Amino acid sequence: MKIAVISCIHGNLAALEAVLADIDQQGADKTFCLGDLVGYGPYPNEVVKIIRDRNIPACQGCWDEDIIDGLEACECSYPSLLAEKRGRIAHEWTDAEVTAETREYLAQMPLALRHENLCFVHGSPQSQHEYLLPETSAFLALERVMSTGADVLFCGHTHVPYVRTLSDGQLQIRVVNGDESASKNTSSHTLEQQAPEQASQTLTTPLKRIINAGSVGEPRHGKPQATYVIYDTLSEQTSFREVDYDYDQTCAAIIDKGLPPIFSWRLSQGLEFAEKADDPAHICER
Amino acid sequence: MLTVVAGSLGAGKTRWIRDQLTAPDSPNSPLYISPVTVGVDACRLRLDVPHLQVEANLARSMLASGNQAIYLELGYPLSLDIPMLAEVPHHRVAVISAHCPTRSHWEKWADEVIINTFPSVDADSNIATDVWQAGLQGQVLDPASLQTFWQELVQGAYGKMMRTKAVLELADGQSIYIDHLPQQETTYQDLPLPKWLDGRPQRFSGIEMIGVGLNKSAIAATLQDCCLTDATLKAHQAALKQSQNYLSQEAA
Repeated sequence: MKIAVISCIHGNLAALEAVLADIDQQGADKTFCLGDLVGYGPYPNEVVKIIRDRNIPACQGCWDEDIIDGLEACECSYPSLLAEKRGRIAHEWTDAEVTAETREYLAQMPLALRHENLCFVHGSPQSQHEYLLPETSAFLALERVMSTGADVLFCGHTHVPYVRTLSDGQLQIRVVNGDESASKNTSSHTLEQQAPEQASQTLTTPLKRIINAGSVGEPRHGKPQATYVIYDTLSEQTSFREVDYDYDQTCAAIIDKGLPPIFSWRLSQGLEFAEKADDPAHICER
Repeated sequence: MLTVVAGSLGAGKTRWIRDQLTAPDSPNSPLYISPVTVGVDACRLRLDVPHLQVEANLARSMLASGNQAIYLELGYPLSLDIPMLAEVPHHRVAVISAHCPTRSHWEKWADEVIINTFPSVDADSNIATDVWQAGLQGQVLDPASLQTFWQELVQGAYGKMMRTKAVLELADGQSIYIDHLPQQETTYQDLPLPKWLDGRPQRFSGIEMIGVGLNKSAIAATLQDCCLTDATLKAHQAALKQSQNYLSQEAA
């Protein structure tokens, strides 16, 4: 079975239409969407309508959640004061633009989707806001995949596509009964007498994969082309697709609709509008 | 003696003046005139030549000349034909790069031509250029925001950039100099000034740029968005002082 995985559309209608046409050409049997249908881009309602009309299963992204629950991102979302300011402007614009129908759809989106041994989330199984970067520690990455019970975890959120294979996965868990930190502060003699009970368990797992689908509407790989993924469940082959579209059309709409003009320039350069993850050690606290 | 220095953008005019002012036989109380700029070059020169007098008003400095060594730097877009200079004996120096396409023009104008190897930019006289500059004294910038702004600036988000340079204050109290010419890496340099950790810095900072089709209002607004508020600056400075205290206690 050939599946297409799209993510992070961000109200970019022209990019979504081009990607869906490419998916049809590729002959994908099913399409999954990893969320962030809205935010930054000029056509949030139109994008949601297409996803609904085509019955594309979609999980909720961080932007979709923020429009429903309000902006409460933790510090990982904005790398600078300037980015935060721009992100807030985009949030306020989108919040005012979306219709009640769009809002209702965003509110009922699930946090994760499952299909056989595949799991689909926006950021990570932990949170729509958490970034699973290629440099994220292998321990954390493996823990996140194993927590889903799936063999392949599809995610988006970083906007930069990648495949990460976690082979010979092994997690060792040590459970300590008692106050270990207090014990460490005692003398060695006392430590021997009061050593806490420890239980250790090792979990071994077959090969796991994390596949990041990139971004349809706001690519951050230095080029404006939309990116998505085709995955063959039989051969387990992943193909990254880079799709040309008329980004000038979206750039013009950004300006026409009153969004910050700098978004138009950044989209044309393949740069993030505002948010960007650069700390693989950061655990999202949202 | 008045020396008038002109040349292409980034060819090293200010550097040549600094070399004269720091040479073993340099004048005792030199005067540097830099009309119509907010003073980025003057700020840098003063770090190397603390006794340098700086004047922005061309007419006033002409009157005050006497026997003083005066360096007048004619930055773009000042005309090379200044009527006032006809009345004052002066020496003309053109600083250009080796591959300057308008070399013959400079050779015709100057008494002395200095040829540097630095790549430089010649403004096309047929294209209308924009100059934008701002004094920023007291403003402190968030470094990550500055990085984004600078990338946008030099890559053309606000128009075609031909030259931009700035002295800026950062959130860690450091004053820095930034310089950019097209097709080159931006140069960042920490200035040898004490870190300003108490309130808004009371010393020069500013930015100057030349380009084509510059969106000046967008540049100004974005730069403003990179600046720390009073509350953020206070929090930054408190954290920095605490960190400094901790380090001195550790050292003791």
